Amino acid sequence: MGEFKINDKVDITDVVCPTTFVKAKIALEELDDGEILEIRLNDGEPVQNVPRSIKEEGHKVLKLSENGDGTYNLIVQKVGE
Amino acid sequence: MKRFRRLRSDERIRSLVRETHIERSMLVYPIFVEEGENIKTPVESMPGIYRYSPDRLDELLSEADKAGIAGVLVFGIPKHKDSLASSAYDENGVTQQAIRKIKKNNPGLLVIADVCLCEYTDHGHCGLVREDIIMAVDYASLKKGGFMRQKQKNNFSLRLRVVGGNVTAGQLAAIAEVAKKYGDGHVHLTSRQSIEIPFVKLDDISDVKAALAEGGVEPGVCGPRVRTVTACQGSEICPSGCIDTYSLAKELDDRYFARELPHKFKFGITGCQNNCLKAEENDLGIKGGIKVTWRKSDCIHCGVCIKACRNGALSTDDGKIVVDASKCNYCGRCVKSCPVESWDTVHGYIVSFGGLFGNSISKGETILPFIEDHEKLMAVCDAAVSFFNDYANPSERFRFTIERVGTDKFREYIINAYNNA
Repeated sequence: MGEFKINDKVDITDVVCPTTFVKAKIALEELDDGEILEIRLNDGEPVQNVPRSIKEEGHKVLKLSENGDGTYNLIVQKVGE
Repeated sequence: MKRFRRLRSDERIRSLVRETHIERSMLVYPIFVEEGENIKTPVESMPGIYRYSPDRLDELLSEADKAGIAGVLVFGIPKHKDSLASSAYDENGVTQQAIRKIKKNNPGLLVIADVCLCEYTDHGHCGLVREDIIMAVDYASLKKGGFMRQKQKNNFSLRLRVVGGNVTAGQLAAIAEVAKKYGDGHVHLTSRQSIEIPFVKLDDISDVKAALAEGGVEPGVCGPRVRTVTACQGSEICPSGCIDTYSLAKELDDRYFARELPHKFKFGITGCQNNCLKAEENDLGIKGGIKVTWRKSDCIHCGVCIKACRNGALSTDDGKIVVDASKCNYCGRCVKSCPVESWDTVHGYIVSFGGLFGNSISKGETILPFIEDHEKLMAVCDAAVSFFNDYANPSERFRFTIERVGTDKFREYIINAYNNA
């Protein structure tokens, strides 16, 4: 993941909807405008829904990559304070 | 502002532009005939008008006949009134005597008879009263006007006109007021997004209608006609919505609401594939969708859309996102999840026909491609309604008409409308 400078990471594979998004949202709140969060999330509902919810919150999704173990890493840039 | 009223300045111009003309031949004289002999009693509230007994009618009739008016309207005042209005069908009732006399002496006059029963009944109702119910009450027309007969005699549940499930706070206040004053203080939310006010009394029906009208609320309908147009919140409110369901519901309501048909006909509009409004339960269901084309220039190849698609319709091929049209269901999830809006979109409609969810259960069938054009949608709706109107037997639901007349014939009818719009 060399292309982005990751400021923080959060793993939401241990929770289910809607806590997945809540956990990601809280992690984003900790960051400053422009900083980048890496979110580890499960296949299925989380990967279908969390990126969209983050977009609807106004943040910028940069990349989604498959880890090969049934999980994904979503790279998100925080927009706003 | 100065109004010149040039068209009214003198008699000649007034005569030239006059639109309403009253001729003697257009007038009808009301006559009141009282049982008895040698009677001519003035009616105080109408100066110059008298009640006559049949034997003195000639004084009036010859004058009326000579004056060249069209005819007379006969109101009889019988001596005997009873609960069965028997004077109304008495061979020698006062009205019958009067009409015979007019027909004999002044055959040129038109005779109009007042057929209302109230002047013959002792209770004053316009119909017969049995077991506290006025038998002449036309339940079909009450039902048409949204008054649903209850188990409890003389009580009606009034269905209200609601479009797309939206009711304003002001309307709610008026409804609450009426429910308190004329009902038993509660309302019922129907299965199809309407509101009913139960326990409205027959005698209060016109007061209830007036009170509701003041609050901007109209009665709904029941029976064989186009019913409430239902809708989910749609794209104006819901993040998942692909179309503005409420505007469409209003348009359909304006166009079709209460239209008389062989049986009930239900429209339902849902904003997206989540189908919160269950489009396929309806005779005609509309489901919003988004047709997508990938736009290379903006794509950051994040890969989110491919995972967001639940139908496996997206894949990457040499740096391009490929849409498999045979798998795409127009849900729009790729568009909604895309961080950079790298999609060209067309918002449109998936229409289903012949849904039923009552005694028989059938899912509405989609026979047309994704409809991109609003005018085409309207043409298709028109065609479905006119097919139902022209081919259905009385009391036959749309689904059964389609099956009886033939699915192929129906398909051809609808596709024609779609192609020609």
